Amino acid sequence: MKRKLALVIAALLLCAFVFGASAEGKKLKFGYLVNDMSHEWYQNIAKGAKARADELGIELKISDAAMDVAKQISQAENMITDGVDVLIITPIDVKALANVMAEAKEAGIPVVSESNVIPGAETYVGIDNLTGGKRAGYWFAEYAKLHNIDPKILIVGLPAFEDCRLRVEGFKAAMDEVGLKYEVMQEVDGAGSKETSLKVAQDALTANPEVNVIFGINDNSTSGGMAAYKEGGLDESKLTAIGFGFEGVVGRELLLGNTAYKAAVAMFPDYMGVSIIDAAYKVANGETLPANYESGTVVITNDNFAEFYTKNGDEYATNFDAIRALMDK
Amino acid sequence: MTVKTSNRQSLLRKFGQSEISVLLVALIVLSVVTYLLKPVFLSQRNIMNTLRQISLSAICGFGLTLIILAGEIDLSVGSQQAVAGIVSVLVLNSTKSVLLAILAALLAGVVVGAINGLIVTKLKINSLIATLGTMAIWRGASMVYTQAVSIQSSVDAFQQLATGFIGPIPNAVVMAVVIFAAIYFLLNYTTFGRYIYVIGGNQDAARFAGLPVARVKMAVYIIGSVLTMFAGVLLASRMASAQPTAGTGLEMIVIASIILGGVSLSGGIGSIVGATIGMVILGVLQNALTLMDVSSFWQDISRGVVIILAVALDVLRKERVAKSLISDQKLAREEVK
Repeated sequence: MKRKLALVIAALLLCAFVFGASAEGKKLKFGYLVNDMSHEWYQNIAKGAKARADELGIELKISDAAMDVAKQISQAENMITDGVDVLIITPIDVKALANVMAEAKEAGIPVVSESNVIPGAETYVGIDNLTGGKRAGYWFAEYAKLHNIDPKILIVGLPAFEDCRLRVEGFKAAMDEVGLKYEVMQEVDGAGSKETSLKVAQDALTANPEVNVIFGINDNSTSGGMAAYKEGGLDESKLTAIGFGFEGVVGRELLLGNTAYKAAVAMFPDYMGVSIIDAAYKVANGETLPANYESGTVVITNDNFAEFYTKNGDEYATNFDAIRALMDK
Repeated sequence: MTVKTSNRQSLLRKFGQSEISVLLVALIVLSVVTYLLKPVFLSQRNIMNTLRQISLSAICGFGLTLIILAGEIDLSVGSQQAVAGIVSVLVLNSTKSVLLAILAALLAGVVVGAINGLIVTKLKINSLIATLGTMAIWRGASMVYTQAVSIQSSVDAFQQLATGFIGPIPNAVVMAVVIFAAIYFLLNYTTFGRYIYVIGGNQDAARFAGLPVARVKMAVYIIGSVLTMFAGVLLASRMASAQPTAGTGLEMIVIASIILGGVSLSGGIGSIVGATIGMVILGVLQNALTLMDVSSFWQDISRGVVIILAVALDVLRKERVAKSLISDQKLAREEVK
């Protein structure tokens, strides 16, 4: 009897020990497959994701496929074999991931996608380009009224990409919505690079020297347009330039440098990193997410810059709480 | 026999000249049509802007013309421009000296050109493949070094280099004209220039005749890269920053303009004047299409059509030269009879 009791107690203790240890050690493990880490944008996403994972006590593994589709697939398979709790993917080619999605499903691993919708994924985390464009449009409509601007707009776009077309569409839609009178003088294709934007904007400004607003689909496009304006000898004090992205030093220097660059739709790549981890965390805890989990965009101006960024030596840190508060509104 | 040779040369020269006049007519027609549709085309501002645009690719094109005339090719010019921007802006930011920034980039040009030249002459790798390789290497190196992030210049004087004016004329245009004159002199009035034509025309014959083929090729690659790097510095100056993507696709546009200008892709035939007109035509075409608000997708198509036309012209040109050689031989044979 005594021996039996001792055995039961020993068994109970063993169980408690095993379960306790497993509960203690059951740290969530996420895998993130990046498409291309040579891009500053994705470096910042990874940085934000790491910080958020540390905060939540999640183990985060990051693999960079460097734009190699086959590599991304084998990395995905490695992560699945490794038994991650949630797989986060920035796809290089969505169509190439069908098998990976099937394997993940079989292994019971939910998938969260970033920047592109993957069929079968739990949710897609990304900024809403149309909404972002609209935010710029609303901001500008107010600014134009306040400063009595008769807007003659040059758009430096990248029409080959839907995301970029949506930004322009949203920008115009918001101005239409609030009844701002404006004229789009020309839409050029700056290929997203400063070099091409400068070239094409220069010709467009020659054809339309009355342009007084430049809207670019990223910071390079806007700054290329501004450089063309300056080279063309036009009066920069009459220009209002609006950027999109605000992801690096280019936009920040322009905004803080008292130039024609008055506002930008900030996409906060590091906050995107926070968002993918938040979304994956919710998925891991059994929450059902909307098809599109929106990471925030904010119109940054000289006035509200300090709200969202804190200077830390030469670096600027993003205030996640400020964005979160704004998104919750 | 000497009479025959000079006959043939004058024949070739005539072909060249008639082609240049055709190009000039094409340029004038293009300009007139654009002017009628968009009068702003002939405004002083647009002319100066367009010339500045053309100057940047032309400075690179002058060097590439030498390389093509010598029977080789350099596809890495676009990537070299990224390297030029990075080297110059880095030196600029650490020394605050515009002169040192330029010199550093030119020195890098010597190194880069020598590497291309060595691969082609010592490893005997076809230059199309060799420079396709270095094109990827320089671009990759620029991306790795910058982590794909542009580097801003911190010296305002640097911007003046390409955006400044001498009187009403942009600096870059003046520089391009000076370099054009130097290359014109080099090709037409020096032994080195004649060697380039001979080597490009028939490399084996040149070697048997004891010409320093490898040395001449090394030299054209180095001159080509130095000029390309200089254009790259001007590009960085215009953008007030080093862009790791600078010059992407430049090689295609420059090569197409040179071929359009009557320089044979297989070397030995063509002139710097023709190549320059070719570059002006392509530059004006791009300016005209944007002025007329033609969508960039159509611009791509038109550029493609021009490239194919240019190469078709090249094929036609070779056939004409071959025919004239055959008729020369017939004449010679008849004389023997």
